[in-house]
Amino acid sequence: MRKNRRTDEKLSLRLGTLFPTQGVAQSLTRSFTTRFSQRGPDPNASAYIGLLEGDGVSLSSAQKTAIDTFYVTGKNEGWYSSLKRFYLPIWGAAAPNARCLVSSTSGTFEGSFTFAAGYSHPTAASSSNRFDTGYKLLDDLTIENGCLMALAYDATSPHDRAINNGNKTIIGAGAITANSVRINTQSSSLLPRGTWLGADVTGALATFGSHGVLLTNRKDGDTTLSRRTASAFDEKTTTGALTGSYNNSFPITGFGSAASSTGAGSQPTDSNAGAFGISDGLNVTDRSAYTDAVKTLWETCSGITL
Amino acid sequence: MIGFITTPEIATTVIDGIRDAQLGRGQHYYWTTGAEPIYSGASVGEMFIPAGDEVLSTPLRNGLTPRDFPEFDQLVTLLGGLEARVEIDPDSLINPDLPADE
Repeated sequence: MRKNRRTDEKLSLRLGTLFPTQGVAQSLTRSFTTRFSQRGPDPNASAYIGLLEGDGVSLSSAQKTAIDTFYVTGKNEGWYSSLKRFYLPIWGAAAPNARCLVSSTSGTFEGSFTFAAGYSHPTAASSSNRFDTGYKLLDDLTIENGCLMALAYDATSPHDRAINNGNKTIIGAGAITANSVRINTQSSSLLPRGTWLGADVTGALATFGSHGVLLTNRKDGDTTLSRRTASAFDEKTTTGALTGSYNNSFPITGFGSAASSTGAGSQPTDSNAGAFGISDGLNVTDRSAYTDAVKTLWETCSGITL
Repeated sequence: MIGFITTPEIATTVIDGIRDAQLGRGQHYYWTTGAEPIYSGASVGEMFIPAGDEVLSTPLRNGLTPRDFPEFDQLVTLLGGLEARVEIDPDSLINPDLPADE
C-alpha cells in the first residue's frame, strides 16, 4: 500500500511536469489512484478481451466489465476451476466465436454458419455444419463426472422452442442417444432432454421449453437437466447406473452430436446458440451460480435478454 | 448443398491447406469448409467440400472472408475453379451404417 502511494506521488509529480494545467494532472492522478486502490482487472479476462480485440471485435466498456465480472464471479464462487471449455459465439465472426475463454484453445466451425450479433447457427441442419470443440469427454473428465452447457436462444416470441425441432442435439457426443452425452430434444422441441449414457432425464420441467441456459450434468450418481430462463431455474434429476457405452474418439460438438472421430454428427440442428461449455459435474449450488453467470454475461455482451 | 466433388486425396490437401493458412499466421484452426464422404449416388466414394457463396463469404476475423486469403485461389484452382461447383443431395452424405437414432 505504501509502495503504491509513493508511486502515485511520483506519477503525480511527473504529470504535473507534463501537464502544466493542474486540473488535468489531478484528474489523471485521480484516475490512476482509483484504478489501483480497487482490484485490477482479472488477468484471464484481460487476455480474452485482448484476443477479441485482436480479432477485430470492438468491445464497449459494459461488455469488458461483463467479461471481467464473469471470471471474477466464477473464481470467487468456486466453479470457474471446473470449466474445461467455454465458448461465447456471439461476436459475428468465426475466430472470436471459436475462442475458448478458459483454455488457450479454439474450437473449429465447420461448414456454413450465420454469425449473428449475440448468437450463431448453421445455415442448415446438416451433419456437415458443426462446431467441433476438439474436446473429448474423457480428456479430463469421467463418465460419472461431467457437465455440458448450451445457451439455446429462440429469437421468436414466445421464447420457448430454442432447440427448434424434435430429436435434435445442441451439444453432445455419441452416435445414438443410448450411448451419448447430450443436451437434446425428444419428440417435441419443447422438451429438452438430459442424455447421459442411459441415465437420462426426460419429461417436462416445471416451466415449458428448450429456451435458456441448459445443462446436462452427471455427478454423484445423478443425471440432472437444468434450465435457466429469464425468470426461472428448473431442474430435474434421474438417479441410476449408466447403461450405455461411451466412445471417446468422438469430440464434443455443438449443433449436433458427434457420431465419428471427425465430428460429423447425428441429430444436427440449425438452432441458435449463444454459449457452449464443458465442465466437471457440478453440485446444485454451482449449477445455479454457473447458469446465472452465463445468463448475465450473455445478456450484457449480446444486448439481448433471454 | 453447393460445393465441390473431389477425390479423398485432393480433399485432404484442401482441408490441410485451409488449416495451414490459419496456423501459418499464428492463429488457431477456427474455421474450415469441412469435407464429407459421399455415401450414395453417382459420386459414391468421393468427397464433398461445401463451397456455397455463404460458405465462401464467412466472416473470419478482422473483416476478412476466405476469399481474401491468397491460398483461396490456389485451393479453388485445385478443385477445378468455382465453375466446377455442383449441387448435391444432402441425403447422399448420410452414413447408412450409422445406427438409427430415436
